[in-house]
Amino acid sequence: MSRRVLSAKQVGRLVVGHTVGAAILTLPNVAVRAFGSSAWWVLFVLGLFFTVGAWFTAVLVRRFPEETLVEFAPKLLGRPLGFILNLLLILMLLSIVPIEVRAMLEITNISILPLGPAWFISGIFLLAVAYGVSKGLDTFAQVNEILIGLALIIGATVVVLGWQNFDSIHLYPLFHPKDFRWQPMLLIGLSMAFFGYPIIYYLAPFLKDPDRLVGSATRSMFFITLLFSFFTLTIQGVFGDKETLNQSWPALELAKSIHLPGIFIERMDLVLILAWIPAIYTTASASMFFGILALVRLFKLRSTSLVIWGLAAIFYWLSGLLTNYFEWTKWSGYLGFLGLFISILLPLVLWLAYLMRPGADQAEPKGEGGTAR
Amino acid sequence: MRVKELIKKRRTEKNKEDKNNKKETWQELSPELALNVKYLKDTLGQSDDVIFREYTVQLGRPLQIMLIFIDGMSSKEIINKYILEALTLDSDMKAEWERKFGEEDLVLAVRDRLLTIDEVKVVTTYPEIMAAVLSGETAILFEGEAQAIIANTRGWEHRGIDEPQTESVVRGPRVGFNEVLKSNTAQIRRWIRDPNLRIKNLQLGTRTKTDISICYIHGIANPKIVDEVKQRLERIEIDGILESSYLEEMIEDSVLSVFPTVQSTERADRVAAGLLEGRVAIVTDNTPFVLLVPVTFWQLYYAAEDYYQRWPLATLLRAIRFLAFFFSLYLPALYIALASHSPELIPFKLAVAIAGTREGVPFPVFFEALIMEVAIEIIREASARLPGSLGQTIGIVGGFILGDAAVRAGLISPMITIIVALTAISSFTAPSYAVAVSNRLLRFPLMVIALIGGLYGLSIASIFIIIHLASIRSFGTPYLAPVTPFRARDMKDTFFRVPWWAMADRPGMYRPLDRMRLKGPASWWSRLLNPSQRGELKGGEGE
Repeated sequence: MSRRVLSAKQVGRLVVGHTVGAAILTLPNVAVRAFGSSAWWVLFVLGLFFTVGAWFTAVLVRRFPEETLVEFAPKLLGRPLGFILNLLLILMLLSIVPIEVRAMLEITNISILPLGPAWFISGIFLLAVAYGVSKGLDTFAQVNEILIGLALIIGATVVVLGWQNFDSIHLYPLFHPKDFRWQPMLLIGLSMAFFGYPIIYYLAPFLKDPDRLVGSATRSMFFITLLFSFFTLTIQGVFGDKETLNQSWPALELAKSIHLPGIFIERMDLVLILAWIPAIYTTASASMFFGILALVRLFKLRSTSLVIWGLAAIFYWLSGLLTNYFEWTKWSGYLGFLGLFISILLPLVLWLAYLMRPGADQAEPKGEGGTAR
Repeated sequence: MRVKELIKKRRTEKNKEDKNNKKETWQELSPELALNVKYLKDTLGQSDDVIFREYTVQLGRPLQIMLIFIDGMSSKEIINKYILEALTLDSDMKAEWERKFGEEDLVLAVRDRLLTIDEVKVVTTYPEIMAAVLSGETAILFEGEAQAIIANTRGWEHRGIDEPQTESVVRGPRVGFNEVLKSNTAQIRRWIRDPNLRIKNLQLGTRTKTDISICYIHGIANPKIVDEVKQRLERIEIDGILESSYLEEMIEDSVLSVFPTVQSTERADRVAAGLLEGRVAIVTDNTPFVLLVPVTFWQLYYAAEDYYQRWPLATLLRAIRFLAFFFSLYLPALYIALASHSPELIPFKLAVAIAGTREGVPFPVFFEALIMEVAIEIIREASARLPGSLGQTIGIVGGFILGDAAVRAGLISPMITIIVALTAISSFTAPSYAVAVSNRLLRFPLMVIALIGGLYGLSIASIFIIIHLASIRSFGTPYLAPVTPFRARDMKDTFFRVPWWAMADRPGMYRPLDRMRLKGPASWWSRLLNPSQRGELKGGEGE
């Protein structure tokens, strides 16, 4: 049976599903801390930069339609370096999972289930993630398609409704010099929000039409850029910089600020959280799925289920180490370094190697995609 | 090496052939009528309803024949009029028979010259005779002939064509299938007068020998789906098929799922519509329920009437049905989650009102809801088992009086009565009974999850349900298609229905060979944006 199960649209949604997760809920806070009132448009520029990065990566991946990074990196860089690079990417992907699990626990505890024990919230979330991952790429892509769609529709509704309190005066001054201080840690933390696209390194063999990978990946990253900057613009316009800096979860504050006369629902923040559970789920499960996919291919493992459920137990333990918001923000910072390398330097290195080794993409066809589980 | 293999292969084939020949030898009819009758009486004649009617006819010479049929399954009128009368020649005909056909093969001459029944065939083995007799046909055996004639004399009492009990409509045809396979396939043929409509027959059940027909439109239905249906059916080895549900469980994709992956319907128009979409129908003898494959989750929420009402109304009705689906699955669980874990989500005045109604109720919200849900299920089951009018009475007595009494006694709150009643009514809106049952099955675990995990638990449970639904396939078609994998062209007939003039192509998820239903552009949105393509005459031009 053919393993080329993904349409170009599904690839785009996978990139969006992987990129848009818990980070967006705190993004305006980090962005304003880094760039003050210029945060929203700096985010846009940063997003464009990552969109070009996604295009750059996709064009390279497109040259190896039968292979994932696991197979083509050793061809370009040699076995040891290829192996290490793959290991780093796997590490980055898998590290996202405990952070998302912890974020889920934090959000749930501050809103819809204040007395919910950590074992229950993290436990069933990880069970759902592992169950989804165990079903294979076809099912996983379909679930992602539905969940990220639902989350974005409700999220966008909340953001648009938030404009009832929007005041453009909050956005000034636009290009204040103090907004451009060099703060590398904050910049890295901010860039973290865009690190979803490296999953395209693993997608080419599963695409029905690999030629459409480039367009799909680029469009989805551009969409994310628009989404992030529009969301930050809304938060800044509603609360202003000072208030945004004091909010750990600006998105929830935005939802709380909405008042709809004649509407049954009074607490829009809870609605947003309910809608955002699927978004956090898609990020965690995509990280786990592609991390495991790479791991299985890299080490030629036979029992995928064992890896999935074994890692789920490890993630549960790791998520317990991130005891609070500050802890996992710190973790995100460390991860940001790795992410920056993988998102920016890795494509450059691979491209250089590709240009130096012409004909590396003339691979023997390996059937239709190999295993996706 | 190859030569050895060839020799081995030939030997195996020869052995097989010999075996078949042996089998055929003992199964073949003998020219001695007495021997044939003895064998058939030993095999069939132990039952009193099998009739062996010996008769002597004058076909050139006095000739003994034996008619074998089953009382009640064969029409005596047909036997008397078209077999016995036809074989009784008057003196003029006898002379003509001797002169013209005396030299011909007797059995063939009888079949071709005398019998005026439409379906007649000549057989030479006992199993063929037995299978035919047991399905209501009549076997005619002749002295001195190792052949027999099988005449279709099927004629048993059966129900007429009524309006389907489970899928009634306000607008639309009021005809449904009955328990006779031929009548059902004829109904399908009546709807689709296309020479490409193929009806392939097979028999399943080693003892019941139930007739099954596979129907599809050649040139529309994907041959891979048709072959898959045939293969799955042919793999069934069971002693009896009493209803199409036997087949349904044997051929469905997800055997452990609560969601059906095969659609069953009593409506001939629904089957015809399915065939036109490129699906395959499986008609089973002795049941009015015809199976349609593949099916998607959304399709189980489409009523036949959706296509007979004008599109705005059809769209509205469909939206109501999907809302009712949500209520029937989630409403009690949502109430438990909100009341137990997140009362702050409920508007203040409403929360106070709910709290007021719960004053004095001895049970927590979960048990209150559970008791009422179980009571509703019992009432529903009781009313389904009782005769029509009595069933309705039980429904009213149980649901209304019992509920009212329980509220007055302070055992349950009025709010939960409203919730449970709305849930029960919502579950009746599902056009497919099977999907309504799956909602009922899922409702109870969701209530438990809501009790433990509140809205968070419900969200995660919903993700589990979505993962499960996404993992299901029905004969190769993704169960959640066209929502996921998303196909914009097929969205024309999902949550809404576009007008018929915009439904240019068949659903792509069934991979039909002939995609187009209408001429012109394929995309429904371009048709919607450009409705003028329907005709030239516009307002004011005729005046």
